[in-house]
Amino acid sequence: MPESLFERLGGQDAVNAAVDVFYRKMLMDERVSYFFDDIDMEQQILKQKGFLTMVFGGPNQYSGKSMREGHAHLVKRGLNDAHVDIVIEYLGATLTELGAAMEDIEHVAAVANSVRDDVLGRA
Amino acid sequence: MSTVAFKNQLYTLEPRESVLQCLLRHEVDYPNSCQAGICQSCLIKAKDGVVNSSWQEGLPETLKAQGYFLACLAKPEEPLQVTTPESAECEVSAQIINVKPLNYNVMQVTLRVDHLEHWVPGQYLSLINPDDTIRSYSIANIPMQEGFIELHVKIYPGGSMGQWLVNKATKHTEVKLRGPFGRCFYYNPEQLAFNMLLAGTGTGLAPLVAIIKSALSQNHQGTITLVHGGLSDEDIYYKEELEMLSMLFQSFVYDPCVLQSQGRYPEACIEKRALMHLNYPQETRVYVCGPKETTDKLKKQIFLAGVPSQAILSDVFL
Repeated sequence: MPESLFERLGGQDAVNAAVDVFYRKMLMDERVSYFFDDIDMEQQILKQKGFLTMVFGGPNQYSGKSMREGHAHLVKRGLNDAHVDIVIEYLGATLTELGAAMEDIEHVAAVANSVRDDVLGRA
Repeated sequence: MSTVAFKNQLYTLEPRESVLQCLLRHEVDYPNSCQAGICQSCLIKAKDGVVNSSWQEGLPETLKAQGYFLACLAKPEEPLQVTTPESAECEVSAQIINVKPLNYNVMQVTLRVDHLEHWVPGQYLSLINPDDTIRSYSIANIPMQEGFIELHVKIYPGGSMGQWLVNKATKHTEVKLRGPFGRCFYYNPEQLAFNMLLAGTGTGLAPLVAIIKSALSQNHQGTITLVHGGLSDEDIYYKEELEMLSMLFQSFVYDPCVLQSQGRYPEACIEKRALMHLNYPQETRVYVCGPKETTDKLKKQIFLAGVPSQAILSDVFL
């Protein structure tokens, strides 16, 4: 059995499919969509692919430092725990749509949660 | 462990580190932006060492052949010696054939240049005039078939390139070109059938016309719909050519719209008009060009309407 969820889901193709489902959910929710108003969609999708690859346990370039630097300007605009909760909720909903097991979804939520302090710029 | 030599300094790469990351980590202020192999800001040249073709994605063949690559994509396994791009190698000479108005603020510029096959319809190039002003414009035709490069240049009252073209440029004036760049072009080697929706405002029309001509000349299977938007009726140009194309090719639909009409075109914002034509979002490829405000909105609406992000191609005019 392949060891990472990334491989079980189908590798890069799964990430490509997941990123569309996930990003549509984010853009359609007005509690978070305004964070993406002035952002180039292609760049954003590239970044989200990197993020999803990381939380799915695939090969990735993400580090705590890049999560911290990448979100610092959003923290200034009011990014807080409630928004991170929404991200984790939509990650779960996306994985459910793609047919992932509950156990895997919980694991992904835990990985996403582990960078919460970096994203929100806390010690 | 591998090394990068740049400007007489030797830097050691960490495992899985790119050339760009390595230079930045050592506080070398190398140009960069997207760090994802798209923007081409971090163009760099190998003087010695092995260049992997995966580091050269999207570069023109001429640059590839000369050892150019993107520093953000390169993770060399062997020592590499690099240098900043040399302008003489990235540029070619061209001559102005003609400059002629297409409407009140858009000029058509045609250029004579060698190796027309390099200039891919819909990609963009940097035009450099004798005053060393540099601006980017999209290729609006099929240079290989038509024998010249056509650009659509928007003329701004204080714009240095536009004013130079209107007031100083003459036939045979020598200019330099760099490029072509960008991923907004028709590429369908397997001749798949799909619908195409193209939307743009102002001179965003230029690459879209080139893409339509490419698709039609390659006998594209599927509908091709063009929505060209403007603020007022005067902003719509190239109408006769496009109406002619739609008469010649049944699969091609031309639908201009403006925000405030004096009666010549339907009144609509381009996002709404484009969405009207989006009947099978999952099976449609969308090409979007124009100023950032327009393309951002268009891309978002089209994506939310169900078009896969990978099927939305765009070059933003910056």
